[in-house]
Amino acid sequence: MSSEAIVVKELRKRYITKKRLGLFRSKTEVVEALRGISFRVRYGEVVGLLGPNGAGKTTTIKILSTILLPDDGEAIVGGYDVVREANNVRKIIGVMFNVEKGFYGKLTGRENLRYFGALYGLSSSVIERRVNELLKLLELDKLGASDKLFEEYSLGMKARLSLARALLKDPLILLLDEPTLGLDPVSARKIRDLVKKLAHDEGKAILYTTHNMFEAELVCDRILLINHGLIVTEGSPDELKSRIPKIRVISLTIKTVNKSINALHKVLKNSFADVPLDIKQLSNEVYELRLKVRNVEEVMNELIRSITIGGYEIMNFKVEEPTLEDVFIYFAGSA
Amino acid sequence: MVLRELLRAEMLFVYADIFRRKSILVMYLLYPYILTMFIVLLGSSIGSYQAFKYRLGIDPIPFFLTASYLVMSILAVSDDILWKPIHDRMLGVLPYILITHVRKIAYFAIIPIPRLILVLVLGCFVLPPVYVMFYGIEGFYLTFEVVSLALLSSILFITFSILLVGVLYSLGGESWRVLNIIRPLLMIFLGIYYPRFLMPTMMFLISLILPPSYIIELMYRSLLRIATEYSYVLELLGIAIAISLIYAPLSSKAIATWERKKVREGVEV
Repeated sequence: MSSEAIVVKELRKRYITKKRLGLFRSKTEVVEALRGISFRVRYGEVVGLLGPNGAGKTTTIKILSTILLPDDGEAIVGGYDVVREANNVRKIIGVMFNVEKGFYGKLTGRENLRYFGALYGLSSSVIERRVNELLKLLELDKLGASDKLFEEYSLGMKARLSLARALLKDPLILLLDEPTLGLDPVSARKIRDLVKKLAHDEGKAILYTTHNMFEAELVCDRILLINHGLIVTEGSPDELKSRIPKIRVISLTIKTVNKSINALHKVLKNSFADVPLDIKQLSNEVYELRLKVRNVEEVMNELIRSITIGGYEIMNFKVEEPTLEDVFIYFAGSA
Repeated sequence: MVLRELLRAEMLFVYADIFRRKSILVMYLLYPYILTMFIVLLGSSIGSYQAFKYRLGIDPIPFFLTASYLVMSILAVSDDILWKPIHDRMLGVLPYILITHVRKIAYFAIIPIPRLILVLVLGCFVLPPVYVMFYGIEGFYLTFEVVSLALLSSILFITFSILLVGVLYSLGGESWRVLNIIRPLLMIFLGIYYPRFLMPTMMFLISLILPPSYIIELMYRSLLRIATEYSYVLELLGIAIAISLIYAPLSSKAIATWERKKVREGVEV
């Protein structure tokens, strides 16, 4: 078996939509959802497709799960072409789309899973075993949700059930489209932990879309930054951070102690003319100063001296490393 | 095995819905009576009960009860098949249905079976009281005959309904508005409320392409005590089955076309 679960080459997709201009007039608009993206996902890793709304994440997942035809390019999932061998692809993938929908409200969670198990062609005994395992694994039985109607589910329960369905066939490849969107922290963490475990312990290949930087950093082994239908960069979270200019943020919380913040602002502007400086009032006489610098050591002494000489009191001090959000803004801005 | 599992799944889906909403079950039991009462009352207000009896040779109550039961059994098939894609799209289930690797023609063929079984069972309770009242002990035999023919006409309607889904939804997308027009037209052309052999020529010609219309004609001939030769009975049955079988490959193609169209446009998630 090849180590590569998903291979995508120069994938393109355009949507043709009609924009209504009045009662009778409309204009055809072409939206380029994917503009030639290429990437690979190996077994045993979680790859995050990270980007803002409309970046092309869901379109990619839809194409890989065979419910949307690409205009051009190639996508191979588990060794099968998503266009020519769609039926084979369908047998080996587990998919999770919009967690809010996708089940029958008048069926319980258990019944919904049984229903989809049968549609996936599983035998009764396998369905029974898998359904029980998954309800336990996702703690739906613990939440008392197994035999509750889906229409009575909370969003967290819906997401768990959706992941359970994706895992029904015990697929080697999982395509998860924003699986934690809108979830409470407990459910989100449960899903994140399980996704990591499935990839690292069971060797599943997981493509995970999100627009949550924090989550991508926590879950993904590799991240593909996508914007306007293009992958702008890729790598592990640490690699991505190392690729942007080494700008750190010095964050200071100070107390003015009956002094004017404007005076301090003036002093700092004179001392650090080229350094971007933000001042935000937190409460009465308490302010947060944020300076973006390349070399913290060069600035530090002068900064502390300027503040203390002026009679201001430093309450808190920290140096922030670049976050994935900085990486995203840096690369998305250049795309 | 896949078909058996599919059937189990659909049974679970349909029965969970019906037995959890008892009002639906009650409606199924009352539907033929309510419809019969409505038609007979409306008919009596604009026409004569006796004239109907004189012209057709049958009392309007058993006639319209049979017709209403037929409507219910045929609608059980056509509604389940025609509405399922719309229902699934609204619930966001459609993408998960499309990515299953079962053949969609098999999926659509299985969809109406559970409700049809229920309707047939209900027929055994709904029809006898009226039939026995009008025909005595022969009413039980008539119940058996009507339920059997309702089963046959409904099953023979499956391929046509799938063909209709494929063609309609491929051309115009999943639209309940179109269905609301198609439904009553089907009921007219099937000859349920207006026996086919009494139809104007154009309507009669359209009815010829609908397999259940042959079975319904057979049923009315029996109900109206019209002497029918055995060879003609076989002829009607044969034609109905043959037409239904002709629709099978076409419906498979139509569903495949619809599926391709959905995948080309992108399924809503």
